[in-house]
Amino acid sequence: MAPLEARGLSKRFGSTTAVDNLTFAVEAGRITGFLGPNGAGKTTTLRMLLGLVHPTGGEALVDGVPYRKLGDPARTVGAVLEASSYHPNRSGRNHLRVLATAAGIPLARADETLEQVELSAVGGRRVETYSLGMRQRLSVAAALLGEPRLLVLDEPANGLDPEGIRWLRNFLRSFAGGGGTVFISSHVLAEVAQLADEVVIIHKAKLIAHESLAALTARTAGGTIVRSPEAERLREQLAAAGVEANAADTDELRAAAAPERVGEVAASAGIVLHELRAESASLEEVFLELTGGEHDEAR
Amino acid sequence: MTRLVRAELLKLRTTRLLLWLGLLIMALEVFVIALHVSQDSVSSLAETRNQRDVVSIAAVSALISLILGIVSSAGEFAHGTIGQTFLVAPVRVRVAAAKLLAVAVAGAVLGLVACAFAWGFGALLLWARSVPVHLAAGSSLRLIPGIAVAAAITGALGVGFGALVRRQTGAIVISLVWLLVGEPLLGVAGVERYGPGHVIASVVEAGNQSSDLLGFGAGLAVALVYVAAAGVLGGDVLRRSDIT
Repeated sequence: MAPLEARGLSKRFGSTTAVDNLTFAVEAGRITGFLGPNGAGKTTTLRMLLGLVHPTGGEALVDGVPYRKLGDPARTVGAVLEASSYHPNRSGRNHLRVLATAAGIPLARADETLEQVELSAVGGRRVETYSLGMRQRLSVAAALLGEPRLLVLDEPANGLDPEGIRWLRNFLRSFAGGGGTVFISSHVLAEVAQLADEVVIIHKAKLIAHESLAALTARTAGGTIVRSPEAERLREQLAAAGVEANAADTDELRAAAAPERVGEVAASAGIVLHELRAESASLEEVFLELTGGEHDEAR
Repeated sequence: MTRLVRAELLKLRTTRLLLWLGLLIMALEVFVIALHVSQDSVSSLAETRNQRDVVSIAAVSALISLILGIVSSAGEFAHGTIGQTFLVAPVRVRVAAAKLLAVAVAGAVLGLVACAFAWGFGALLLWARSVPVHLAAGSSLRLIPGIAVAAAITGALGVGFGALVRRQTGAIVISLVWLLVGEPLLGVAGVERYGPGHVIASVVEAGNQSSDLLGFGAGLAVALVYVAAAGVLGGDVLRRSDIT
């Protein structure tokens, strides 16, 4: 059973379709990036998965059941939503204690999670005095209260400084390294490219890709990089075989065919190769290709 | 359910809202009691009935408790904390019920504190003017449970109404406009005694009813109907709302 699953999930707000028939499942023990331009429907999808927004169609399931039917939600899934969702006059520690009390979690966990996110020293201060990065860490602490095995994060790096982003990246790697599952939405591709094993990409409310990061970047590029001391003769042979190839360097070609096909052409012509590899696009290139160039990366 | 009530009580204790509302009640009491005791004659103040009027300002705690209820429910939308609340307690109707109970308890405490301060301050000023103090008379003492129950009811009413409107400033303004303008208009049809403000007043009076109020029991029953209606409607809005 997938820890997180969308089955034909849809949401309409009046005449606007925010999410359209989305189906995907997040694999246990992996970090899955949830990508899409701003307004693609990521936040609405996450909030449907977390039971905060009612779907108009389909199902949003956590451990096989709708969120509201989870017996112990805080111990099943930890969620990081907006960093601004705090009562400004309540201290960080008391914010966690309120949540722990409601979830039936020992109050000692509030101090433990504050330590985990390196906020122990400021736990007694009112949240209005926190920086954005500290609020984001407090959100992570709240998500960890019940020691869940699944974390759902909505744009967690928004507003974080480079140190905060590095902290978050290391934390999520460590969480996943311990067997946890992470589903992280972002429109900052570089952030996800460094973290995710898999990516789910949505655009204009629809799913456009769901596969491993490696497979996606290789598949989308689809070409081959080949290096040979006889690059020009190889280009002619490839052209004769119906494969378009362009010179990338004096001894390097970029061919529009799979490495197997390029290797066969070179072997049949007796051409020596120094390198033969599938061309891999960056996640950003893949994203731009899949979304038709619509990209609003903030940084 | 118990842990949700405890969490709601903890929410109330961990901000300064209760403190500020308590201080507001005391400030109003100081102003009204001082004015009353300084303006009235010693002979008039010596009457038990008038001393009861001096401390009846403690009933303002019922109005402040209404505001507490509104802020505690609509304020969750204002601060965006409602999302985290529903993440740990996804059955929303339970959250609404817990909030209603917690604020009713806090409202009753606010009412009792208001009474304690009004009695203490009133007795002090009466003593200072050499007026014999009769604040322990039955008619005055009956105000105390009346005010505590009324403040509990208005707190619960505020929770339901705040959930219904979801905007704290709007809900407070609507409530005040109703009490000052809307409810007096019910008098045109002769049904003002059934209005929320009047039924709360009938609970406060606790047996010292004037003719324009319902009796204590009837007033309490109608007030609880208002609480139930606000709770059900507010809970239903919460249940159906998308937390975006």
